[in-house]
Amino acid sequence: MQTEFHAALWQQDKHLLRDIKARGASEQDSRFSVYRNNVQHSLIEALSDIFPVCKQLVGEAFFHTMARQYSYQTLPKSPVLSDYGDTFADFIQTFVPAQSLPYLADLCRLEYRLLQLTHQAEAATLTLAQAQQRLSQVQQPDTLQLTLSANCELMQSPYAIGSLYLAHRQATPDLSQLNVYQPEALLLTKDGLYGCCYVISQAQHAFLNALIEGHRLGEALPEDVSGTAFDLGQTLAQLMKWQVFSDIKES
Amino acid sequence: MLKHTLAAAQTEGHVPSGFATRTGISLKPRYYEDILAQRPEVGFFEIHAENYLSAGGPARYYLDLIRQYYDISVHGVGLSLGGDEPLDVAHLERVAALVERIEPAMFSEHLAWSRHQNSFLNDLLPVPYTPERLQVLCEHVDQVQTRLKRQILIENPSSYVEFHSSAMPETEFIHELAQRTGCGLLLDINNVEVSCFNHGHNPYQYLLDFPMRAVQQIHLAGYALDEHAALALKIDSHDAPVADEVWQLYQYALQRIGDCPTLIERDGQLPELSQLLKEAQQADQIRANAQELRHAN
Repeated sequence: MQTEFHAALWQQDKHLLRDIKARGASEQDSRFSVYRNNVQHSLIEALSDIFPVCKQLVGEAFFHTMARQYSYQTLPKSPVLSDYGDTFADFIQTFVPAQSLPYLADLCRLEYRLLQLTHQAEAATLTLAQAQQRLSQVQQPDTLQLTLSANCELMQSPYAIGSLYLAHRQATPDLSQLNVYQPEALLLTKDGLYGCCYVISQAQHAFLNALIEGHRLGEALPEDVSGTAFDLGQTLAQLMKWQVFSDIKES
Repeated sequence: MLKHTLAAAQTEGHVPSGFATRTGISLKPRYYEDILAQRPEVGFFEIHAENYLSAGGPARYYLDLIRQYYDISVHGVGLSLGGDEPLDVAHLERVAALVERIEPAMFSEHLAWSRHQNSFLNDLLPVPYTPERLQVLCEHVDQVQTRLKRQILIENPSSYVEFHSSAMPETEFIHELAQRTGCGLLLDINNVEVSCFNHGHNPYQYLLDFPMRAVQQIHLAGYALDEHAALALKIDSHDAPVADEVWQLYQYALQRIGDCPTLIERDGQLPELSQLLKEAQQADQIRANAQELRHAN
C-alpha cells in the first residue's frame, strides 16, 4: 500500500487512486494532489531555508524550478530537514539552466556547510585576552601548537563565493566592486551560535591547513604561495580576534 | 558573547507548571527574544522534536533558556508510526535523548506515516483503517512508549482521502489504538473540522464518537480553504488564526471532557507574538466558562 502511495506521490498511480473514495477520477486526483502538493511544497520550502542566498541570487521562480527538480530526484534521508540538500550543489552542477552561473554550486556548498556549523555544538575557544596571554608567555615560538576549534573548516573555490555570500548578508547587497570570477579561500567557523565565514588569503589557507593537520608553528609557516606575502603577526591577530583557537601551548 | 546565560535563569528558582492550567503556543525562532524579554503569561510552549535535535546552535540554546521558565511539550512529526516498515531506531534514539534532556510535560506524535524505505516524505500521510494497520501501529506505539519510558499521545489526523479498504471508522480505529496500547490521545479540533468537511461528515458527531476519556491535550489551529480544484477542500495549513467553527467545536469538546491542556498551533504566516497570546487567552476564557458551566450543572 505505501509503496504505491509513494510511487503515486511523484506520478499518477491508477491502482492507488482506485482505493480513494470519490465520485470520479477528477475528484480522486484532487484529493490525492493535496498530499503531492504538500510534500513538494514543504521540500521546496526546506531548500529555501537551507539555501537563502542561492535563492536570492537566482530569484524565486528559478529557485523553485531547481528545487522541485531536485526533490523529485532526491528525497530527504532523515526527518531532520536541516540535513536535507547535501547533494543539492552536485545537482546544480548538472542542472543545465544554471550553467551560466558556474559559481552557484560552490555557493550552495558554502551555505550548506554554514548551516551544519550552526547546528554543531559550540566548541570552547580561547577569548582574545586568553590567547594574547598565552602568546605573551611563549619561549620558543617554533614549537607552538596552535589548535583550531572543532568548529573550524576550510574551503577553496575558483570563485569568490565567500565575498558573494557576505555581500548578500547585507540589507542592500552591493555587488558593484565584486568580481566573482576569481579564486577565494575561506575559513568557516562559528560566531556565537551561528556558522560564519571569513575570506582569507591562499597563504593563510595553507597555514591553517597545516595547523589542522597538527603541525607546529615552525612547520606550518607557508612557503611563498602564489606570490602573496604571509604576515604571521597579522594572521595570528586576526585569528585570535575571531576566537578560533581551542588551545595554544608549547610542545 | 551570548546574551543570555542559563545560570541567570536558574537562580530565580522558578518551577514551570503551566501545562495543565493555561493554554500554550507553538515555539518559533522568531519569538525567542520576545519570549525572554517579555516573559508572557502563557501556559507552555510546544516544539517539533525534529527541529530541536542538534547539538548546538540557536534552537538548543533558546530551548534550554525558555524551559527554565515554561513547561515544554514535544510534538514529534517524523517517527512515521503509521508506516508499515520498522521504526527508524536511530531517529527514535535521538528523540529519546531530547525527551530525557528537557523532560517535557507531554510527548505526542501522529497517526500517519512519512517514511518509505530510506526516504522521508515530510508530510503526514494517511493510513487505511484496517486490522493489519492497527496491529502494526500498536506495535510502534508500544515501542516508543517503552523507549521513552512514558505514555505518549497520538493525534487524530487531518485527511483529504478515505480508502475503500478501510474496515472501520477513524474514531473506532483510534479507540482501539488507545485501548490496546494505553496511549493517550491528542485531539486536534482543527483536524476534526478539516477532515469532516473534506469527507462530508458532521464534526459534532465525530466528537460524540471520539474516545474522549483518553484525551489529554487539545490542538487548535487555522486552516486554508482550497477551491481551485474540482472540489473544495479544507487544508490543515496552520497558517491562519483559529476559525470560528473550530472555536465552537472546542467549546463543545470541553463540555464533554471538562478542562484539557490546550495548544494554539501555528507554523506559517507567523503573526506577532501578541497575536498568538491573544488566541491563547481566548482559549483560556472558553476553558474558564466551560468549567463554570460544569460546576453550575
